[in-house]
Amino acid sequence: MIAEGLASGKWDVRDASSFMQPQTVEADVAIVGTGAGGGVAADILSQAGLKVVMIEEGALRYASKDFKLKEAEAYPTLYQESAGRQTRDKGITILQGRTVGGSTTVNWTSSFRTPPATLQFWRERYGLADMSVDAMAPWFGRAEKRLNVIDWQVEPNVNNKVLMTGADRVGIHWSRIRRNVNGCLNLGYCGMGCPANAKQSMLVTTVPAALNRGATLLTHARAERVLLEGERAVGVECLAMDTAGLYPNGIRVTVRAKTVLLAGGAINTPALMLRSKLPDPHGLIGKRTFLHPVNISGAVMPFKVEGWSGAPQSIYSDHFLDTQPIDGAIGYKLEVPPLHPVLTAITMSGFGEKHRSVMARFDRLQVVLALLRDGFHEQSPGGTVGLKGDGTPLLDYPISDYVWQGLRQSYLTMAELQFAAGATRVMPIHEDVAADGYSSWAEAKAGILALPMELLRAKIVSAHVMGGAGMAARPEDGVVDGGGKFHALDGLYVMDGSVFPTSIGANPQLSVYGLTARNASRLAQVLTGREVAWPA
Amino acid sequence: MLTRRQLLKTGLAGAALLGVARLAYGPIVPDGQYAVPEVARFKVLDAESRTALAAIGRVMLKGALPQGKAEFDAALQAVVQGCDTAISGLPGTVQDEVKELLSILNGRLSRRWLVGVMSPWDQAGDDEIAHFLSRWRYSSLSLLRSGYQALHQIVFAAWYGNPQSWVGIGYDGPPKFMEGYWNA
Repeated sequence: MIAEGLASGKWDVRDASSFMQPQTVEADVAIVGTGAGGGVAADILSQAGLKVVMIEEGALRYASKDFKLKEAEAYPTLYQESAGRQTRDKGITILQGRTVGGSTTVNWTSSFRTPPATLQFWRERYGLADMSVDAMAPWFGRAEKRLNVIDWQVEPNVNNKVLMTGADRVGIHWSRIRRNVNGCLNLGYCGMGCPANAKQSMLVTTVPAALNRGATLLTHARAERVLLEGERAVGVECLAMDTAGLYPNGIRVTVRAKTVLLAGGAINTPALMLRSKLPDPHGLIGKRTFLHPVNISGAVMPFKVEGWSGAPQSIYSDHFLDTQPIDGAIGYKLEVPPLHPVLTAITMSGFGEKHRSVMARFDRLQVVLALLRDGFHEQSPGGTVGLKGDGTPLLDYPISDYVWQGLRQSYLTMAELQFAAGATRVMPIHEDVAADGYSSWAEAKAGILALPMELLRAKIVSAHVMGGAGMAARPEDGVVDGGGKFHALDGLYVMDGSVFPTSIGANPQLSVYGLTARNASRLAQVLTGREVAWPA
Repeated sequence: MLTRRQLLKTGLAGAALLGVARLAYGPIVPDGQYAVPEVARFKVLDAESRTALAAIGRVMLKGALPQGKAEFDAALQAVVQGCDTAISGLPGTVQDEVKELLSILNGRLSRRWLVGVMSPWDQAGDDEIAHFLSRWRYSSLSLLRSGYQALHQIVFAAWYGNPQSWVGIGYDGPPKFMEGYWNA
């Protein structure tokens, strides 16, 4: 698909790593980032007849043939910091995409609408009066139609089935996960890029659509700062990167545009705003950045699991989100991750023979994860994005006692569920748990209650970054307004996960799609006076 | 991950300590180096770092590498090569942190005082190295724990990213029928 588009001669795709001298590009709208926010915005704004330039730090990978399903190739080429982006104290490792399509190119396709309780919290606390379930439903509906979010009818893989069985046996409710796929081969390699073009990521949907309408795509271009004239944003200055995307190659690319739209994700967008020294009268830029901190529990099953095969996520349980108040003890969603050798090996604790013995049972390993809903309690203020000496972002995300309590509680839940599903051994992923874990629920319970809940002992990861440029009706409460417009300047919008005032409490891709669709349509109306019917 | 600057701040390895150690142990002579054949060009790792990572990799991957001497050596070399590739793919500031960590492992004094490995890496025994890894893994200082975690990530990614490792874990690699897709 990408190869055909490029061969057609109609697409304007420019690889900044090949630039020999400074360039200037003119546009109506400059969009930083091509992920869930940038892709949807580019689609809608180009549909309104606007000249769009998309700026992407990563490379354009040909959808099918560049995805060889090998972790050693995928992580360095498709992810921020080789899939090893970490918080300031190294306590949390973050998976985040860096390629055309952003995280949507490498995510696991799980599609949830923003939960009603989350929307309600935003209405009440942030004055976002129009974010009701009814008002948002048409936007989620349009995104689902455009990106083919469907009920997944295929039998869940064994890894997911264990979550289902375990949940039934401990008496908590579960449901099936909807997925944005079309012609999915059920391979299980979503995290390495879909080689069959089945995942309806931005790489194969909105970005090609925008290119077909005359948009420009700049790859290997790092947005360095937003250009201002008086009280207005007028463009973006970019650094061309080397082909590996690691270092600027010394060439500058200037994108001049009447409107600037930031969609680099909830770490890069606030960082770009900070680098640009934008006005920040209430000191909110980069604050309240949320991760859905995730802890993990491994289990050895008496049957083959082969967690690398089949749709990575198809079953979830919201029992521990639905049955407790949103601003009470931290709630968590239960899901499973796909298991591939590198991701599994670096996640499993220990080394030497003990680590080896866990890996020797790789085909029987089952893994559950708990995704914590952060941002709804005063002791869950999230993290803060700042800048390193070289201007690249650094997220400081201290883990409060409140969050630690939730992590301990979810270790308990996961172990109980895994034993109920038949596990012979359960190992919460924590350095103080022996490599072969616990042999019974009773042993696990006693063990987990005594675990030191400390940084770099409990393994904590995240694949969801939200906040940092949160929306609120009043400038005192948020960086942008409900429409994504920056409170302090004209001509500047944020349309990505940065705008969420809390975490979502679910995998955020559809929340970004739906909200961006609404806000980009509003922006198109402001800029052109035209109503855009999306999907096209 | 551990940086020297952070370390100095902890007061653990102040210049004075290093100075005393230097007096106590006499003039610095270079440590011997583990023989990692230079068949391929390394992008970031110097000879000292390759030696340290080979020793650490040997212990971290105990039992996972193939058994025969020649196969073992080749696999360990591939691990070191994989570490080099992994580190070279990191962004500049992160790469600098890893290089700081390596320089702490390699410095003759920091190796003794902070890492707790008395012998040069090419002579250090498995137990001595395992002891160091455990000490950092459970250290009360989160900086040392982060140093251990960094080594853990780099070494295991280097080995399990290599298709040779998949034989031992019952994983066949990406589905074969996809090759038709790519070659079409």
